Amino acid sequence: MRRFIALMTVVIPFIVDAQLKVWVSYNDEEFAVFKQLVTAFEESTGIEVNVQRIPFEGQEQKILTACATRTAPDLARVDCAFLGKLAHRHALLDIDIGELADKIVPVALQSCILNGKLYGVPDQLTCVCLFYNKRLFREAGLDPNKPPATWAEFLKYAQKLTDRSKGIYGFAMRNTLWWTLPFFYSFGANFIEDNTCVLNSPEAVAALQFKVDLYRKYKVEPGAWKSGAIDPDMGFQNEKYAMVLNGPWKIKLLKTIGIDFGVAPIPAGKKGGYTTIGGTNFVIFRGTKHKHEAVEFIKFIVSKESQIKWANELGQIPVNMEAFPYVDTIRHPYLKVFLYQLQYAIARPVLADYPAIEDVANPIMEAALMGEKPVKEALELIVYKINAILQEE
Amino acid sequence: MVSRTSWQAYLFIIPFAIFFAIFLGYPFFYALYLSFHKVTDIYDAFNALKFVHLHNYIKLMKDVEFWWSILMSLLYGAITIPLSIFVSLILANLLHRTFSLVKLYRTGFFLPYLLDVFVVAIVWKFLYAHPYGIITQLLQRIGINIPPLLASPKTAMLSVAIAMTLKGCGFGMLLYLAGLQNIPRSLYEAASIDGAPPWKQLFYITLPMLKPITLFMVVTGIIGALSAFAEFYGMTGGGPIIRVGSHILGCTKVAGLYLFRNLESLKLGYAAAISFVLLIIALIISAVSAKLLRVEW
Amino acid sequence: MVNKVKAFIIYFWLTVFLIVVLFPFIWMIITSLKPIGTGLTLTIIPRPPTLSNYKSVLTQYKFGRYFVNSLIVASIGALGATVLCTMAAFAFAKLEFPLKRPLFGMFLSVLMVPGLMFVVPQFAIVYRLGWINTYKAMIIPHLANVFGMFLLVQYMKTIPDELVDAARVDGANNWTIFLKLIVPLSGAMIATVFLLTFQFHWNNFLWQLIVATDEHMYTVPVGLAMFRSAHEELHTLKMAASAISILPITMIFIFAQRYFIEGILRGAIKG
Repeated sequence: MRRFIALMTVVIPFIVDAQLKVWVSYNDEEFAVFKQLVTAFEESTGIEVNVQRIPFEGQEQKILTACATRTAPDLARVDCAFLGKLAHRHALLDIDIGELADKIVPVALQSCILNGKLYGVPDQLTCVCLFYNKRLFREAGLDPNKPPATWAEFLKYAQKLTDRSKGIYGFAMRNTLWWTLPFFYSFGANFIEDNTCVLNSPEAVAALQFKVDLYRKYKVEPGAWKSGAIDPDMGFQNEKYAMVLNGPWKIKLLKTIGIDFGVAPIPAGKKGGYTTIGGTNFVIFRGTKHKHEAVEFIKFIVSKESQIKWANELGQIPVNMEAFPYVDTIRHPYLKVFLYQLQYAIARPVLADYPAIEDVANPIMEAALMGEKPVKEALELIVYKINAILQEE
Repeated sequence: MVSRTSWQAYLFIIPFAIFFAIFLGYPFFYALYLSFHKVTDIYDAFNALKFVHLHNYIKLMKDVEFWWSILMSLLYGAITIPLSIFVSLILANLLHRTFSLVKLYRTGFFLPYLLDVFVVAIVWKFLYAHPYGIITQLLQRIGINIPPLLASPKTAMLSVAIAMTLKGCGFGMLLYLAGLQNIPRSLYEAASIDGAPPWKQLFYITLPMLKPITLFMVVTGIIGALSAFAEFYGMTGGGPIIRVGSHILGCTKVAGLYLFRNLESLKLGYAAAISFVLLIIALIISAVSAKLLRVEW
Repeated sequence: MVNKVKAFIIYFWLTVFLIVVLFPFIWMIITSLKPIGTGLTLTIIPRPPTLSNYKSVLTQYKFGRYFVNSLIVASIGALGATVLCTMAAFAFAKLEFPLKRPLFGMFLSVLMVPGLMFVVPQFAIVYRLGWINTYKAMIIPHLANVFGMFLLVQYMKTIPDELVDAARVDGANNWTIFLKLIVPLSGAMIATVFLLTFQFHWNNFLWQLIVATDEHMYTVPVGLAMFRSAHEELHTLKMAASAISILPITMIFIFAQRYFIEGILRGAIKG
């Protein structure tokens, strides 16, 4: 049987093509800018780059199938959670970008480091801030230019903004772990320390209790996290929810629809107002024959010049800090807030199976929100289950 | 009766069987082989396999979430299969005649079947949305207050099942319509002469003659329920939660979602084992249904 | 008069039910007419209705090329699969031969394992054969359509055996029976299997994405997936794209409906 299986093994092709094969999943505007960068890279180095644009949906299966049959490209752009999955399973090469590493936003870079080795370089960085509806602020008699600075203030605002008879709520939230991390972090809790989940600390209990209270006790949150409810995005666009957490990717759409909104840093808790980060990274696959060229390509993409262009043409956060002073904050006023927030951001641990962790944590947090389980008990259970997953690998 | 045993039958089967063997048979046995192994290197899913005996299956037997997901899938099937057979049969019988708009009706009922499941799921999520969704709003206007359908444990599964039955019933209608064409009219004429009322004709002629098609609906319905994924992924994501003893479980966390999560976690051997347990369950239920329907297959 | 009232009541409820069944479809069309970015709004009538989503879908990317690719893959794939299924189904439904039940059981078993499990080994075979980035790779692995074959077997079983026996008494051999009797009588179901296989290929997103290594070989579902990027879901565009993508199948169904329901030789056995 073993032989029969081995018979079907795909042999690594011997023909070495001089091209660098890259798979990316950018959207239209991003891809247009990316193409310009690629052309510039080809002209300056003489290395030919073959870019294939793949849809975001389905990219994970495409890449995994390619890995399993040893037909992966040289480089691909993957998100943080997927990077962890690949890095833990030795599908990636570690990357040395030299001094350039000091210029990359530290939290983004740390989100690619596993056992002291760098397995990806961020090409796109996002974080979460507080979005608020200025029109609803005015109607509630609040100053639209003074968003809440602390969670205590936030609660007061939310109570003022909530008008259940009109179906308007001060705040709407999601129940997933990633969207709850800003609460945990700003209340001073840690997520994972030394490969052990520590979300059962008193700080974590206070953070989740706060979320539960927003819904159950103060009733300023409608239950937007329930399946089949109007989710925060939809409610904010329809001006039903006055405040939500969201990221820079939403700005353009909100402007298009004509919502009068503002963006503010995460309200401060005991520790300050901390955000979680997200984004994508370039990785180099184990089967590559062009490691040197691949590294050069990555260095070019995250160089100061490329990143200035990227940030200003797309209104996105640059990953290279040297580009920060050149960001056109007049053209992209909201970016200022995100750049500020990045100083108070916490890196993502590189985990072998982040989706599985979400999968165990979310139903239990939902039980806490539903009042089916006390917060402390819920978090103990989450920690127990997450640690089982962490130990599994 | 002329004997129909014939070696020539193989000539009809061979073209199908060749493509089957290469592109489905081999992957099938590979998956079976995989279910006794653990993939140690995702960069080589064919050679880097470690034999783990029955470990994957034993782990599966002890997995509460797995059995719960099977239970939820079976519940889903238990709602959708009889419901869609019932609705399809009624539609087919009503549209098995000629009147001016019959084509329009047939096309209309069949159209949703052609849509992508995920797209339909997203649309239904909007329709069910609480409190601003169309359904809630319409019912409110006539004075009926309903709970959030997708968020309460009692209605979530039923709501998904109804949405998918409405999407799929046109296909069943089409099959039954085609089946009705094959029932010799002489049978009905004879029955009419004997004075059998229409409902008797339905139970003693129409339904028995359509049994092979009903079996098809049942078997594919079971397979569909055990592998259902996109409708739940799009509409509920497995929620809402329910407490069963010390466990917190998703009311719509079906086997398809469970399998997907394990594939996503790259537990390929374990996922393969799940597939084969699903296969055995589907085979048993199908065989029992065939027995109950008294159809040979 | 009583009959007319009865008919009216039946068709009144039939119409109500039709509207319910079509509601998601109608909602899809409505959403596709809303201006970009307002796909999540809860208003029923788009204000103002716009065709810009359709324009974007059709002009952005090489949609024409994707359409041609999909048309080639879906029509050849459906034709091939339908021929193979019909032949095999005839043997299983109307002939007796050794190993019939084990073979059929094996074919059906494969139907019960979720297709996602097969992707990696199928890709390995296609790669070994050197078919990556070709139409062959998209078509041939799906030629053996077990679902379609099962459907045809069950349908052919509803054709009375007496007809086959009578033909045999008249001296017809298996080929004649197949071509002159079974195929015409199963016309409706054969057409349905063609339609379903066509639709399968038309929506076969994951496989077509995996075997295409060049954007020129992308098909309609792969192209449509480009509308979704990491965070934003452009609902209006997605709905417009879905509306466009079901157009060909809907056309086939409307114009060839006679064949789907009545078959080619209608009334042959109505006697």
